[in-house]
Amino acid sequence: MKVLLVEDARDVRKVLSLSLNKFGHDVATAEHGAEALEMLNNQPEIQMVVSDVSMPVMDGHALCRTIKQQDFGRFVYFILLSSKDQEQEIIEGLKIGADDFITKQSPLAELNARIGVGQRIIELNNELNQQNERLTKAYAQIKKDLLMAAEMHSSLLPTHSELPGTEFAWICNCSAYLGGDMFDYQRLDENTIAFYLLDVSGHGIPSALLSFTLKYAMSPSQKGATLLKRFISRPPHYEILQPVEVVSKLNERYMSQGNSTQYFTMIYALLNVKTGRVTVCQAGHPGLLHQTKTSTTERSMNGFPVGMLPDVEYEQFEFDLSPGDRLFIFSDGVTECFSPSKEEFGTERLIRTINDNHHLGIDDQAKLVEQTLISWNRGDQFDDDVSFLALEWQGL
Amino acid sequence: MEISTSQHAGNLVIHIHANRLDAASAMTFKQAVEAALPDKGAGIILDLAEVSFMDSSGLGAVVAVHKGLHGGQIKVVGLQQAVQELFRLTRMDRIFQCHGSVNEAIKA
Repeated sequence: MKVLLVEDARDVRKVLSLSLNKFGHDVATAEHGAEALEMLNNQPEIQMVVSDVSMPVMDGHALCRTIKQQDFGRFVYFILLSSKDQEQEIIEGLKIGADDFITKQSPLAELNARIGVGQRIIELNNELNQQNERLTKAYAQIKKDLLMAAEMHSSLLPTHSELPGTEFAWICNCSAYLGGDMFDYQRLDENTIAFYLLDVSGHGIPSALLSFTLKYAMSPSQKGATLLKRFISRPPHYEILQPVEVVSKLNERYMSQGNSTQYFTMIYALLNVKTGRVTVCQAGHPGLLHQTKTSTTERSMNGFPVGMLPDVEYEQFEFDLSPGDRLFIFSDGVTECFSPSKEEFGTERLIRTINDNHHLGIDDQAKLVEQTLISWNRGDQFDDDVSFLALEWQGL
Repeated sequence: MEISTSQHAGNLVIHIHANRLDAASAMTFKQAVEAALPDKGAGIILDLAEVSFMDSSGLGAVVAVHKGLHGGQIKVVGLQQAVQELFRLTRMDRIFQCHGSVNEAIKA
């Protein structure tokens, strides 16, 4: 162990230095505090200082204070060397941060033993610092990865707000950087728009991974192949799958395996843009809200979640929109958003919020729902992923 | 997550002593219940009377226990309103027999 001995009396310095050498320590010496500081700055291997109190230029107390306040990038153990009658100096030294003290009259073996104690503490400190450094690095890396994944999640959300005869708006607020909610809408042919919103159980990375996968599975490939249509030999050479068929297919393909308890709930629906007819398969997900000129009602049907149980039957239901009608689908993070007093936001309040703002454009209406939720939640850090998709059918 | 067990007319009843069965407690719930489970193929009664809120992770854990029973029946008793609503929405009331009380479940 390298020991820095700080002592202005030359003879004392020499005796101590020789003894410490005999005990196997590598000894560096300084005549006063200022010189010691310079050596500490230049020799990063020094972590043990044994210092006299009264010295010219910079005394032992000032040196100790500086060492304990200044960041050398390492832990430095400080032993104060004093005379027997310097009780006050010892107390003062311990107060300003000295780790130990020893009187010059003590046997040298005791000084060596105390250096040994210091060495153990130095080693513990070094180990802790290294672990901390590794943790900090790992944490920074994870945080960076999460933020990148969150950006990816955002980039997967729809960017355009209009399809023929239909206008869309949405809000999406994830609970833990990135979420398990996903939604999209796409035109399947000149008459048909498909839209969905799904919510993978749990939150964070595991849920996000499945939601990313599902988004890709439901998007058409570059060549136009899609899960949502099937090829047929007669023109127009495709047939649009019914919502119940799409959901059954997803259930088969994404059945949770082994120990995984992951599944998702979803609404998958088709809108005929010519007639306003909506066909919905609701798989364990909260129902849709349908806003007409005069009221807002919930359209809901029970159904099994997807990927939870094999070979279960799904159903679909239909209803008609009038021009100007709006539909809202959302994750349960909206209705199960709790106020600080543990009151649930609930479907009724959501319907009221939508009704109160039905005179607004669909975009502003969605924004108002988000603001209402944020003020209900007292902040934009939600416990669960919050997503909300609105569409207005303008009619043709 | 605290659970306790009792025997009623030869049926193992597992009582869940928690207000919420959610993402934070789902894993411990699953492990605790699995540790208390009888041999494969046997049925249990799951007493959820104290649970006032269950989220998707909680439901996933209950279904995982059901799958782990390999055909053994789980009867669920004492569902509070929000949990009952979740079971109805997700059709879990068709997978699990739901009863008001342990006695009703035993008679059924």
